[in-house]
Order: sequence, then C-alpha cells, then structure tokens
Amino acid sequence: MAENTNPMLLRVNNLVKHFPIRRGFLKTNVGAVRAVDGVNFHIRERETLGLVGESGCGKTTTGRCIMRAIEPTSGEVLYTRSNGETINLPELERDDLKDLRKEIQMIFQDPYSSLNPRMTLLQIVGEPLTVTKVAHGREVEERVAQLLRIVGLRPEYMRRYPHAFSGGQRQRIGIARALALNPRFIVADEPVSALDVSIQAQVLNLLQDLQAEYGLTYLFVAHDLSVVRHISDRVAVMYVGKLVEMAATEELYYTPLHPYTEALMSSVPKPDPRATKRRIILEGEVANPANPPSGCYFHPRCRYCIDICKEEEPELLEYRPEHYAKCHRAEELSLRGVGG
Amino acid sequence: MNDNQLLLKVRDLKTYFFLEEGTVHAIDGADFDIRRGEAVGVVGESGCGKSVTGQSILRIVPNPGEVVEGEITFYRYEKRDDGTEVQEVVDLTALDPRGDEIRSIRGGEISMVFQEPMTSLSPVHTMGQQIMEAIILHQKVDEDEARRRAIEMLRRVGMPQPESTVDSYPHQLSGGMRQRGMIAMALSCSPSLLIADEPTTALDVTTEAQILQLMRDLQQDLGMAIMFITHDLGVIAEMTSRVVVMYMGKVVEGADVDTLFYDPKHPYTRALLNSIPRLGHDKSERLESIKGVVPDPYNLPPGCPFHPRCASFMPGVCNVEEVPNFVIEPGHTARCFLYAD
Repeated sequence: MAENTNPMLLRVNNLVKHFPIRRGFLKTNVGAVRAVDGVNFHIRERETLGLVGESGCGKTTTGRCIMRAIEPTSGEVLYTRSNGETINLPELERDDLKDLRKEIQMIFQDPYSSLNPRMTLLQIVGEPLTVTKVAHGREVEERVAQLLRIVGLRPEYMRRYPHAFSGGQRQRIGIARALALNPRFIVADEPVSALDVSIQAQVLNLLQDLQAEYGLTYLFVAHDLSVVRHISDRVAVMYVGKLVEMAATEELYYTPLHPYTEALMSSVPKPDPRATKRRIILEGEVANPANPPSGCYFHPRCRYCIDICKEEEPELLEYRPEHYAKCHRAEELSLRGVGG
Repeated sequence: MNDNQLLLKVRDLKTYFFLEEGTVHAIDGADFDIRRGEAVGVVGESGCGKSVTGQSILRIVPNPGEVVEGEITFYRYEKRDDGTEVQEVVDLTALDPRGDEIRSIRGGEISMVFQEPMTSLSPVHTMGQQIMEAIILHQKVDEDEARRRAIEMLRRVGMPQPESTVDSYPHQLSGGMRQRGMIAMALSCSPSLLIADEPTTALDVTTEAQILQLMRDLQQDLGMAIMFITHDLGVIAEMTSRVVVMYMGKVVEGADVDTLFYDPKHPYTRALLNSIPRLGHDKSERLESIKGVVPDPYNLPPGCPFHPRCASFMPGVCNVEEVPNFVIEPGHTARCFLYAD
C-alpha cells in the first residue's frame, strides 16, 4: 500500500470509558470496568482502520464512544469536518450532534435486531432523511430507491418489511440507511460476522466499492483477522481496553511487534490442510477489565514475559515508522507473522 | 483397532420438517461414512442441514421434524472378555426415538457437543451433577465413583482446580471453561463417536485454539471418531481427514481433506473456497462472491438446488433433472452433472 498522506479525519487521544460497578442497596460505587482505558489512534481520509480484538476488549465501546452512542468518560475525539474545521466530539452539545451525524454513520453487527420489524424499507432507509429534514415526500422515495439500487437491492422492494429479507440483504439495508445522508465516515461494528461466508464476500466487496466511489473512511471493528486484513489499510489490535499494536496491515500481519498479536494470528485456523500447524496456544484467559493484572495486562499469558513486564506498564511507542507497539521487549523479540 | 472399520454409514437420509407453511426438506439426500477413530467434517452455510444431520443420527430432531427416509447404520463394537471384538449392527432410523435402545446409545456411544455452552447446559445444576448424570445413566457405578470420574474427566479437559469447579454452576464459568465442561460431559462415557456441532463458533480465537487442541489430543488418546459440524473451513482444514460439503440438504461433495481443498470438483465447493479471505495468502483486491442468495427452503428450484447461483450452469440439464452422486475417483464424489460419464 502506498503511504497515505491524505488529510487527517479523526484523531482519538486518550479515550477512556469506565463503566461503574454499583453494589448494594445504596448502589455505592465499588469499582469500574475499564472497558476503554486510554486509547490513541488516528484515521486519515479515505482510509480503513481495522480495530481487532477478542470479545470484551473494548473495540465496540471505542466505536460507540466516537459516535457518542455512549458518552466517553474522558479523552478527546478530534474530527475534521469537510469545511476543514476540527471539533472535539465529546464536548459537542446534544443539539449539534444531529448535524454532525450527517457526516458520521454506523453499520451494526446484527442485521436482525438493528432493523425495526414494524418499519418498511422506505421508512427505515428514509428515516435519516426525514429526521434531519433534508428531503420530503416524493424526494425521500426517490432517494431511497437510489440508495437501494446502490447497495444492490431492487427499489420495488421498498414497501416490504425486513423479515422478507435474508441476513445478507438485511445488512445491505443497514448499509443503505448509513449511506442515506452522504456520510464521510462510517463506523462499521462487525458488519459481516453474522453472515455466511459466501454472503460475507458480497458485503465486503460492496463496502470496498462504496469506499472507492464515495471516498468513505471506515473504522472497521471486527474480531475476524482474515476479514480485517482483507479490508483494512491499517490495523489496530486491542487487549483489555488498551491498544497494544497498530501498523499498516501487511506490516502488522507479517512482522508483528507485540506477542499478543503474534498469538492471535497463530490461533486462527487456516483454511489449508497443508499449512504447518505450529500454533501458539495462549494459556489462561483474557484478563478481567474490572480487575486487571499489574504491569502489562498481557503478562500472565505472555511467553516472553520478564520481570519488568509484571511491574511496569509499557507505553505505546513508535518502534518503526507508523508502527506502534505497547511492549517492553518490542525491539529485541523477533515474532512470527502470518508468513511463518 | 482397525482404522478402516466402518462406524457409521448414512445412506440417502431425508429429514423433513412439516410446517404449516409447507414442508422443509432440511436433509434431502445425505450419504457419507464415518470410520472408527476418524475425524469427518460436515461443512456448509446456515440452513444447509448440517446440524439436522447430527440431530438425525442421535434421533433428537426437534418437532415437527422427522427422519422420513434413508438408513443410518451404526456399528457397535464390543470387546469380549477373551479380547476378541464382536460387531453389532444397528439401524438408528428404525429405533423408537424415545426407546431404551437409542437412549443407551445417546450419550453413551454417540455423544454431542453443542455450539452454545450457555444455553445447552442446565443453569440450575452444577457441572458435576450434569456430568455425573451421564455417568450414572450409562455405567453401573455409585454416586461417589461417578463424582470421582467427573473430577477426573474435568482434569482431563484442562479445567483448572477440578475438585472445586465440579461444584460450580455454568454461569460461574467463562465460555471456554463451559465448553470444556460440555466436552467432559460428552466424553465421560468414552463414546465411539462424538458429534461436535460448531463447538468453537461462540468462542474467541485464542480460546478456540485451546479447545481445538484439546479435542485433537482427546481424539488421539481415546481413539474416538469425531464428526465436526461447522461453517468454518479453517477448522475443517485443521481438524478433519475427510470432508462432506452440504448445500440445501444435499451432500454435494465428499473427499479427503487435501483433495477437497486442492482439487475441489463441485462448483459450490469451489465458490465457497474462493469466497473466504485468507490470512496466509496475498491480499487480493476482490473476493469472489457467490452471486444470489440461498434459495427459499419452501420453494426449492427444480434439479440441482445450486443451479441459479452456479457459474457452470447448463440450461436444460441442471434445472431439469435430479442430480445423482457421481464417483470421480474412489473416495471422492460430487453431485454435479459436470462429472457425468
């Protein structure tokens, strides 16, 4: 991939989301689940950043905090609008958000629960248009017909309800809704993980076509490393609320710097019976984000752990150009990527 | 033990669901064999009938589903005291699904691991109680001995502190631990066949790697056969030696795993293999997707059910006649007219 020198679209600085744990009659605060715990990354225009990690690592919460679907505890989300103005999303008033959401949209994971079963396609896809008052009456219908055509559905279907459609078609409906307001930036939260492989390929291709056609920028949240590799320009890996590594896709997959990334990639079953089966099996389980271990959160499962890892938390540093890792031993280890 | 001994033979199996809206042909012609100690994969997309195949073997097809045709022959091997083995043949389709004989097979000789460990375990019984139930039902042991065996089994599947986890409830355990508990339960009576229905789909990749490793070790140590039902071609490639591919209730191709991945014959298998993004391969710009959608199960197309989506569709042939199974070479079959003699 050529070096991306497009202007910056989004810069996330030290994003934190703690969910309080309340116990007892008085609901006193007894602690917090550190779902997102100081995350930093940036996305340039027309770029796809893949955000991967296992369940509970905070990848979905990160996406939702950027959308302000949930309110972040602290941190900055600097978004550059099409007119060049940079705004900090968490500081925005509720009323101004509606205007902004014309530019930032979301695609959800489950195409069954994210579409209202009592609304027709016209209502579902047309709702963003009527809510923001950009179109009325006949115009809405025309725009919905156009949107359905863009995502590969027949406009004649617009008076039908979601139950009449398969999973892949429903995901297309969700994509049409997200496109309704001509957004610049789309947070796609596991958009293909509920779909069968042959349908997955159709939706991934559609997302790529739309990006090329409309110059979209994606934050692609997913747990499937092969899907993320296929669609992303750069990939960020999360573990227990923190970013542990971020780099250009091929660099990350071939020369990872963090032991967790290495283990994650070696865990994926490869669809090739002749592939060598040298797996790294991680011991134990993902740390509890309400009670994380000391030092580096990954150290109890890390096979390269040394004393300093147990005591001191490493910082996310740029070890190679545009390649960030959060590991004390990033420089000395030579880890195995997907090639090895 | 002879590896070539048949354990299970499925011939022309048909399982239909009789619903008000019509009849769903969930399985409409499935043929395959499982040999002793062998890992066989059943792969396909949702709705292709792969889970119902497992349920049909155990005769636990939910209402209003019924096995309407075909044979499922199960070969029981019993060791006599003098060391010789006797073989007994049972046709599972002929058994009463609520009768004693299928009950002694179910959980004893053929057991099952389900996809979602949270919904398939009882929330009001401890792990130990659930494992002991199977042991007491199938083996003549008292409660203390059953508990001892349950703890031993939990240790065998890598459960930490088995002496205390035996008394924990499923909600106290993580997803991976629950799946280990479920495997312990399934293996507690040393079955000769384990049906694993998407055993790792609900798990994260690092936990999935642990569970697959465990199943591989157990299969080698205990010499049981495993039928892996999954949609994940990666799991198939790593875990099985033979594979059957299902589409709309039919086994469309069957081959050993290497042939299936390197020399697939059926257009559906080929398309399926081309549509997956692969980790180890070079990133290509576009994935080859299969056009169209899976047909409506109430309204199947005539002839080959794949013909509306098929790249090698032959008008006048594929959409007219029912496709028989063609043998390409011994051990490799495809249900496609491209391979008619």
